Amino acid sequence: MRKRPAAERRFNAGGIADRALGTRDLPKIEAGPTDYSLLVAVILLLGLGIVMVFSASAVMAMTNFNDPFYFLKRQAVWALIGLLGMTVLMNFDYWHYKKLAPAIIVLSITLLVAVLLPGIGRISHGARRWIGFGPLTLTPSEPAKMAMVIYLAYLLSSKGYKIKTFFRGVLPPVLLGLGMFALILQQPDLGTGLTVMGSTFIMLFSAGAKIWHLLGLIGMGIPGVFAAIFMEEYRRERFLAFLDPWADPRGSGYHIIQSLYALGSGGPFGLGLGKSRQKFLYLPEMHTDFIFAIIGEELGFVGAMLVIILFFFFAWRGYRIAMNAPDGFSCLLSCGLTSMILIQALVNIGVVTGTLPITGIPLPFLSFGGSSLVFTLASVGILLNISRYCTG
Amino acid sequence: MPSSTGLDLRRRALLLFSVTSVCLFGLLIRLGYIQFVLGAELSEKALDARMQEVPVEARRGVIYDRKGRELAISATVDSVFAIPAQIKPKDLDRVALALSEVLGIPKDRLLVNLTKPVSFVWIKRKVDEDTAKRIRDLDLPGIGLTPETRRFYPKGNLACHVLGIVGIDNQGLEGIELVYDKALRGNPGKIVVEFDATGRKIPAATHRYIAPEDGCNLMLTVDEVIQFMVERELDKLMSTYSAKGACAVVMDPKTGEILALAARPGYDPNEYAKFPDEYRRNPVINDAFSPGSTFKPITAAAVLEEGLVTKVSRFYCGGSVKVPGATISCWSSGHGSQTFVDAVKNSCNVAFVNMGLRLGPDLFYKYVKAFGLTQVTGIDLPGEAMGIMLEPGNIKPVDLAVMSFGQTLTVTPIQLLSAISAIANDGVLMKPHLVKEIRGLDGTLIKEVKPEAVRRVISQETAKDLALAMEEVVKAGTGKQAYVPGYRIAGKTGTAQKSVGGKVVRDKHISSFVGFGPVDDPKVAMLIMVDEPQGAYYGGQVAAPAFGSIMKDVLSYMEVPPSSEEGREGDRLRGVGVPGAGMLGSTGAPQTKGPEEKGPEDTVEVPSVLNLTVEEAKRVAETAGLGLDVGDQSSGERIDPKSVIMEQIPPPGALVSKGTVIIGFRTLAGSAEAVGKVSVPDIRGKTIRAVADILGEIGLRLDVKGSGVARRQNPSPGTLVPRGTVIEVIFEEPGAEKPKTETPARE
Repeated sequence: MRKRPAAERRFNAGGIADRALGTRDLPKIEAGPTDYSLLVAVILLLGLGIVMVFSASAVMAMTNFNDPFYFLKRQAVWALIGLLGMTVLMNFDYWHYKKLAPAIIVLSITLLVAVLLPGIGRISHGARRWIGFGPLTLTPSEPAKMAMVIYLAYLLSSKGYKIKTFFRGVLPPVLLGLGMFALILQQPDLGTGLTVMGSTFIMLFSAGAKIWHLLGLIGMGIPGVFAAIFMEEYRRERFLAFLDPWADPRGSGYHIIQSLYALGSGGPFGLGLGKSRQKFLYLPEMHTDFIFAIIGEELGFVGAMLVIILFFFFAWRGYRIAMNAPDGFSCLLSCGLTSMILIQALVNIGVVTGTLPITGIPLPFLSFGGSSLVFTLASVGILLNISRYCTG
Repeated sequence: MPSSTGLDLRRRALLLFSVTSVCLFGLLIRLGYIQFVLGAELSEKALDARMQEVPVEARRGVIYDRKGRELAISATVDSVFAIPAQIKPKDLDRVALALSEVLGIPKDRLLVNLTKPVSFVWIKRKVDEDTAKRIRDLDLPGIGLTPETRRFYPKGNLACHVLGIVGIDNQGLEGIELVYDKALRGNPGKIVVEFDATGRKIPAATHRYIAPEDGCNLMLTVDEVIQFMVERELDKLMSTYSAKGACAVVMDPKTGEILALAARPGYDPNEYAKFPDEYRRNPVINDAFSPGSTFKPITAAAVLEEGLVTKVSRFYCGGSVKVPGATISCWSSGHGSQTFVDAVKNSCNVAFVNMGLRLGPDLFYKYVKAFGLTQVTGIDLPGEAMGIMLEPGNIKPVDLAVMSFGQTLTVTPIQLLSAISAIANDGVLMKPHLVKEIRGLDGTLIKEVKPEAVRRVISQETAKDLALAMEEVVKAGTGKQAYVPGYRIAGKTGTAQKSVGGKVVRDKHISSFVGFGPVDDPKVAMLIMVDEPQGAYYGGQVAAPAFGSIMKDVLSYMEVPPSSEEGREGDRLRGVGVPGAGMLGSTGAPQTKGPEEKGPEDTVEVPSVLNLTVEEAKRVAETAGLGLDVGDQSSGERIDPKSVIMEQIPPPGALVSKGTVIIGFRTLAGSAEAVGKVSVPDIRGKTIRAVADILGEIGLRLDVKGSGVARRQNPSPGTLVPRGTVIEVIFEEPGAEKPKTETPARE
């Protein structure tokens, strides 16, 4: 990477807010090389994901669709779309989002509202999460996470934003997050809602909010989370099953137990690719939320560890981009996007290993699911774009 | 705001990275813990969860008689089961309807079973071959067949009270089946197949076959032929005297081995449910009777052993005797003056009252106890009862007097026979037992039951003297009808009035006879009891002839040489004052000459009557100067002259004196067209049980190899073979899709 003059460093004494809101005010920055190592890690995760989606879903696909390649084909198409989107965004300079941020958040909220409307939102598995465009379906909560990160990066890096204050600094983003959380919860999709809230808090933290403000809010939020858990029958059961899955092994503890069975069966080196037994319809959501369990079963500890190492590498590169970001906005944006992806990874692996209660969060890059994949790759595209303008 | 510098932002990003790293590392540790530490356990549990079990029953051991003849075998039959998880709701109705049609079970009841939240449920156990085939052809989802073994008693009700019965799970419920259940049962195995969550087999699924450990085989001390002879005679008794019941035990007095044990009414253990439950009661073991005069040898043994009387001591009987509190009558109007031996011979109550009173309660009880009449014998049959006896503490002379000739006390038949056998065995009481050996499948000896002496009860001398006295009973006394030509038999008749609710009932009797022979070297001891015979009721009239008849056949079958010293011993006894000289042969048939009197022209070689019809066999036997007795297989059965002789006693080639009666055993179901040879049927594709039935019906014997359905047979179908030929049939599990359940070769 080329050295930049010290004068060009974006972090000035005036605070994290950019000196100018408009792109025209930005100094001329020459684009550096892209962080290809991050790209490689993502491609590796994506490739492994496609293979594992096929392996995990083949039996189920054969059973339900009489086509073992049903999910593979779809995931491959989504991956291509996602890679295309990533390439586009990689070459779309990040500062344009500052202008687009308000529009993005409005569009996202509109979609979140729309999906709840009968006739627009499609119901599947008891949840109204999808909006259909012909053969394609969109899960509005996926772009919502990204939109939230972009908007908060814009908001918190805006000139004179009083991040250190509570009512004018910390509270507005939290209220926005809660609003989106409430909308997503209507689908209902607690997992994505929590991801949004998690991302919101991480962005506030990154932007320099006072720790005790955040801790106070979290302290206030915990009873709310428990209320959300215990007001809904299935959430309560899931939570109790997390505490003791073996209390009801054929009922609420079933998912966790089957997931642990898969991981346990894998042992150090796994049963071998394609040799999972738990995918024979024992483990539900084997190709989506529980794909990590199938990885653990077929590829063993070695395969599962590889996934964790790749996410660690992703974290390193992602936060490195944030630390070396050219300005406050890009710093917050890259920090938020990296955190958003990692929150999902941590929670997903936590659920699969029985460390956290079941929340229904996909594993980024690996789980089957078009919207998730496309928008995760889009986020990577933004990160890669910022990486070109990193210093040091 | 100095804290919100870019430096601060970087620091916070670094902090986030650190926290993320720590979380990832934590998850990695957790993952390692699951995959390494919990791995084996979870993997096993997961497999268990995916596995569904189909139980495989262990083959229950065979019960053989002492010569290796099968008395109880296990045949493979199919049982229908369901794995509810495999039946999709849309198929439920169809499956239930189809099953209902084939099995004749109401659909509602089937639906209850088919929807049970269990992994395995029986639909119908042990169905016949035809039903099994129809179920197999239907190929219903979630419905399967598994081979189970069904207990099969090829000899029908022969020795039913010894063998007992088994339940639907082949668990021993009664008899030897119960006592030796653990050895016979073995350990069940299972077939476990890995299924997917909707119950279909997973491709390349783990099939685990846990082979059952088959049960051990038992060899009884019972001899099928002797058992048959006894049962034949019991049937005759039942029909002749319209008796309520009858029982008999035959024992080797020197070893305590039970050679036969039978009771009437009997039942067919194959279909025991069709008989009243009380028919399964074994009076020999489970019931105590008033022994009556058959008890007298015990009193006699006591007084002889104690030296209170000698063989020549004299007793006077004037028809009754006064004891404090009562006058006791003899069964006769008065025997006059008689010796000890005569008193036994005459079964004189008055003499025995005297003996009892001379003994006194203490000595009396000492011998009753020594003969084992106050405790169970320990025979290997379930539910052994014990006789009832007055408490020795405060018995009055009248009690003692009455007990001396066997009234007011009760004993079980097995107790009584054991006690009498002690007299035959030179005074040593042996423990009766029914099992000789327990062998593993490969023939290895697991347990051998050795003769077990309980104690010496009386001296050898006393035993010998008593035996001679008891011989007089048969020679010239109340037991004359038990006489067996050519053999010295000792015995004692018994006629007891039954008491109901403590009161003696006049017209209800138990006639019995107990004895042994030959006296000089006892090989067989036997007790026969007839419960409530009609018409005649004296033991000498009812039980003694049956005893003699069985004894004759048994001694002949056991090839016991005729007693050479019969005359001399008898003379010696008579020399000491026993009247009745010239009794020899008085009831005997012409062939009862001592061997030393036999000329070579009197000895003939026994011809073979095997595989001949009864008509032909009779002709052959008569030509050789011998008789033929084909007996009654069961009472009242008309003998079909065309039925075929399966077995004969003595065997062909044996040298016997002219006039000896050959005993022939006929086929169980003689067919009209039966001739010497039969055509081997084609039994391929049939189950073991069906094959056993088919072959048994035409008099062929089955040698089972393997399990499942018949695949090959030797000789091949259509071959003409003599009846009784062993047909070797190789059985294999049907269908390649069925899990292999072949077990290691069975003996």
